[in-house]
Amino acid sequence: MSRILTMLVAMATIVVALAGGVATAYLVGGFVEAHGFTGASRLTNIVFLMLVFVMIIATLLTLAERKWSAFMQDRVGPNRARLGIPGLKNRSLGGIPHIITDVLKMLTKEDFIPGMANRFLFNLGPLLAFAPVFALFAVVPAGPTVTVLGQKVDMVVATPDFGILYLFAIASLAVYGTALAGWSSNNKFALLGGVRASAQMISYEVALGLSLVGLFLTFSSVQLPALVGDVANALSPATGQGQYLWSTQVFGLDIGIPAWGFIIQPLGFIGFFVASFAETKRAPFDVPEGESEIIGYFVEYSGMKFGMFMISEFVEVVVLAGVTTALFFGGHNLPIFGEALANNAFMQEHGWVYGTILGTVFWLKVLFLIWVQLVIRWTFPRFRYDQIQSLGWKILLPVGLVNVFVTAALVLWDPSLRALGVVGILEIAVFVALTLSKKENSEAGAHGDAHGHDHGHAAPAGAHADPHPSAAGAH
Amino acid sequence: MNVELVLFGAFALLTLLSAGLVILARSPINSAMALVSTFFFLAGIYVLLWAHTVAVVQVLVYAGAIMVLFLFVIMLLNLGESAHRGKPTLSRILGGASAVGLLGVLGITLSRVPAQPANLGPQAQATFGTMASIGQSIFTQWLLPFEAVSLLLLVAMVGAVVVAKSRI
Amino acid sequence: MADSAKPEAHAPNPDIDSYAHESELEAHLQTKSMVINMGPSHPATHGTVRLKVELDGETITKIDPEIGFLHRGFQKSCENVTWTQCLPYTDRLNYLSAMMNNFGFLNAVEKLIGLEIPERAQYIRVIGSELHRLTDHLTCVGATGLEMGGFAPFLYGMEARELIQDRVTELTGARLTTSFGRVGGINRDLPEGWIAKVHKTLTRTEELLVEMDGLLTRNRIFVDRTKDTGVITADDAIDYGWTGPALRACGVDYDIRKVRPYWVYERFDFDVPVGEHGDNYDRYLVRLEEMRQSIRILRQAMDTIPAGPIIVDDWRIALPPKPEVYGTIEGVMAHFKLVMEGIQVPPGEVYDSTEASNGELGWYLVSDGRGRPYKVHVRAPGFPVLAALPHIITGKMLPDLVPTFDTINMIGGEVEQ
Repeated sequence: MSRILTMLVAMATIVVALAGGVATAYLVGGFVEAHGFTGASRLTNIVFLMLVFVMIIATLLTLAERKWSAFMQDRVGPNRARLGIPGLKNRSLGGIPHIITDVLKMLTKEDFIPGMANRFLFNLGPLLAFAPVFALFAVVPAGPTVTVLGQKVDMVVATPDFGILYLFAIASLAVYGTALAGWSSNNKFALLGGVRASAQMISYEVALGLSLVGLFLTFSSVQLPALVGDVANALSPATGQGQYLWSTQVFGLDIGIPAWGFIIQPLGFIGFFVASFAETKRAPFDVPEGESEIIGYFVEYSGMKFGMFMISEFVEVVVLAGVTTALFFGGHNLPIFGEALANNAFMQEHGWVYGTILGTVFWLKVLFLIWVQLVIRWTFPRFRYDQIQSLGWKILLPVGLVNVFVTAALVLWDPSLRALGVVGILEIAVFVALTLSKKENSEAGAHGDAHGHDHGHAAPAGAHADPHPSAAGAH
Repeated sequence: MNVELVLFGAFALLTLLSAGLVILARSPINSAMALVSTFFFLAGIYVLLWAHTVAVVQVLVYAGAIMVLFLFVIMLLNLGESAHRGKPTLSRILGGASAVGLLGVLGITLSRVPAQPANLGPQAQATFGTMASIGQSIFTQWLLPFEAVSLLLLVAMVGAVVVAKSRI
Repeated sequence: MADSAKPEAHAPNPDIDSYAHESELEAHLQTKSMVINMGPSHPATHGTVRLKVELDGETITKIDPEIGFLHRGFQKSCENVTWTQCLPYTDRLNYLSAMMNNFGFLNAVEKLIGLEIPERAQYIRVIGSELHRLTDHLTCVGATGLEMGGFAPFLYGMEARELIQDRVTELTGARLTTSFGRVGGINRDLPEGWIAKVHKTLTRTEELLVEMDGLLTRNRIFVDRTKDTGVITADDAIDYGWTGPALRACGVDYDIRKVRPYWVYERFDFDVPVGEHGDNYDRYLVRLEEMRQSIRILRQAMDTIPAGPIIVDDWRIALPPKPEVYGTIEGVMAHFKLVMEGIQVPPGEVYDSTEASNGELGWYLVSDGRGRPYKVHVRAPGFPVLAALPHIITGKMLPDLVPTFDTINMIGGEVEQ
């Protein structure tokens, strides 16, 4: 009971903190636009989005992951570190002091470099692993464009013309850190890890790119702000994921089914989520690490260099959640009541309040997707190296191709996206049905006969062969 | 001396520097990494030329995919530092000759480049190098060559698989 | 790096010779295999075993298990102490199920003496054995999940194991090295209210088993990784001398508790799960089912355990009760002789085996009648299983090694003695 209460308090704190952060970001952005030069808000966005939000969430994630895994595994989780401040001496504070102790531990550990290692590349590895991941968030819009202090302020660092291709380009560089770390350590286990990582990440880039083509076709853009879109207001109709597939008015409030990515592009969503999960190298795709087999590409790293690999993994989680939110979960748009809120006179007057609400919505969606990733991470065992390859090339790639053709045909046939929505909802229903039917089968099969335990290899689990194990967790 | 010129100079210098390193580095992995940075700085030059799409594709395809495969092969074969240097073999002589030839061709071409940039008109300026315009021209005007090239790639891919399969 | 270059001086050096070749393009791609050492200190090696693995890419071309890091001179140590004093050494054989080693050894000694132990003692031995079979299998199944990246099943297993170990502690006074039982019976009766506690523990264990089952058995990734990996045919398994769950997973219905019942096993209604394919998945399923059967046995045993003595009333074998030791000259004499000279086991030799958690735990004992073992040989079930590892895994992939190594459940303590 007290645990549930603690979690509720923690959630409320998180929401308030997020709202405060977003509000500050908007107000500071408006202030520098008004008193500085045009475009200055982009600079403050770098600070707020990439340093404050992503880094702080990633840092807290180191703790949240351990706490949540403990929760899943009937454990208490880290609670031993205490702050020596009067009044807080005997409180575990949800384990937050552990973050400090972890940082101190990493900073004070011996920075060991293996004797025969290539020193330059060995030192370069962690940086190359961290920097691209960190830069990824630059194109993700974390809130609507609103008017603050008479200035237009948006919540994105950059809106290049090539949009999401930036994401692919930078993400494809992340493999260098891993591969070089594995190679330069002069350790056979690390080398195996590096080789596995590069093979895996290269293969999944194909599926990653292909899975998004359907979305590009749907919204005819590759720019994230355009994909996220905006709700309809007095001046312009709804765009991107801000529009409704079907909607109606109830008491002057709009409700309906929004054209969010995962509804109109379920296949694309699953493909993207699985592929990007593989890119982050977390379980079940953690063969480059595979701590019980080959220990991992960073086996020789210690201290803060190891910490760089770790924190870049957590930053990857945050970035992946952010990108997925923007692409498939409507970004900062509310599922319902969006138009009512946008056209509210008070909101139109005080743009920063509107921005704060929607920005908080965005970060809450991000937190939800982070949570989904944690659950997947702690539920599934690890793939085998060749199974990852066959999943990528034999399942995700054809599925992505089919998705492209189906989407193109449907968008041509019905530009209002409703046909796409119907097909998407049907696909989701099929996925849910498959997942549920599998569960029943297993219960009938596994506990049937005690003696002999006749579990032929044509077990029911194989019949439907849920090709997207991670996605099964996501639904 | 505007910002663009300074950036161009920096990128050009760094490109040349890392390109030189590609040839001069003794360890293949250092060569490969130098090549990666060459691609990166080249992408910078593309950006200065308003060819954003080419720049991002450069990073995506060359630095992000092809060079990783290079690295992969180097790691797998565990190539050490080459111990044999300076011995003139047939392939080295041929390679040197073709490099000299290429330099000559480049020089001739450069001398014929007009001093003033061509005026493409305001319409072209706005959409030049954007994803949309490139997509438009690829899928309308240059559709046949584009498809032909993709067919070529497919043939190459199938060929590679067939060749490799016989060895496995 | 991969340093498999032959020592001969004239042999071509694969590192440089291909580049020295005049026509570089025609030179064959030089390949060489990589030798890696898994262990003796490696997360996937239970205990400390060293696996020298030769890899071609990710495929294992050769594997050489090297044991002996935990060698303690078990056999020789036993020859220098009395029969009773051997007991603590047997704890360390399979440290996950110490009681089964204790009881197996005692059973063999009793057979050598020709002794029938009281019924209640037999029941307690069954209860202790099955409790430790549970802990052993829980660890094995949990570790299988853990080493494939699924942390949760392992911790569920650990939770159940902790509960059982608490009960074991209450019974024997030790968590791991129980040294429980004495020749002729048991040294300590069940504590007050212990049976009810065990019933509760078993209920919780069953719940946790359902969780583990749900997380692993129908998990597509787990199934993909364990099915058709680490396969051994029944014939090969018998040839290698496999016993226990690993053999039963190949489809051979051989369980000493059924084939040659000892203690009171024939009174209980339980099934022996038998697999079909001899792969990792079947071994996992067999262990999972054996745990359920163990719980069945435990419940029946605890419900039907009779009252009565727990050790034979023979002062040449069992220590006399304390009042007798302090109060009578016969008691002091018997106590002194037993402690100083040990049990006088008649000369002879015997082979006896019990069904331990990983298979047939056999004891070959020789006595020369002088109160100390002349020879104690233990047939550790893990040894033949480990010996077959190269046969199973050669030609398979490195990631297959980990689940295979887990499900055959080699225990360093008993293999290396």
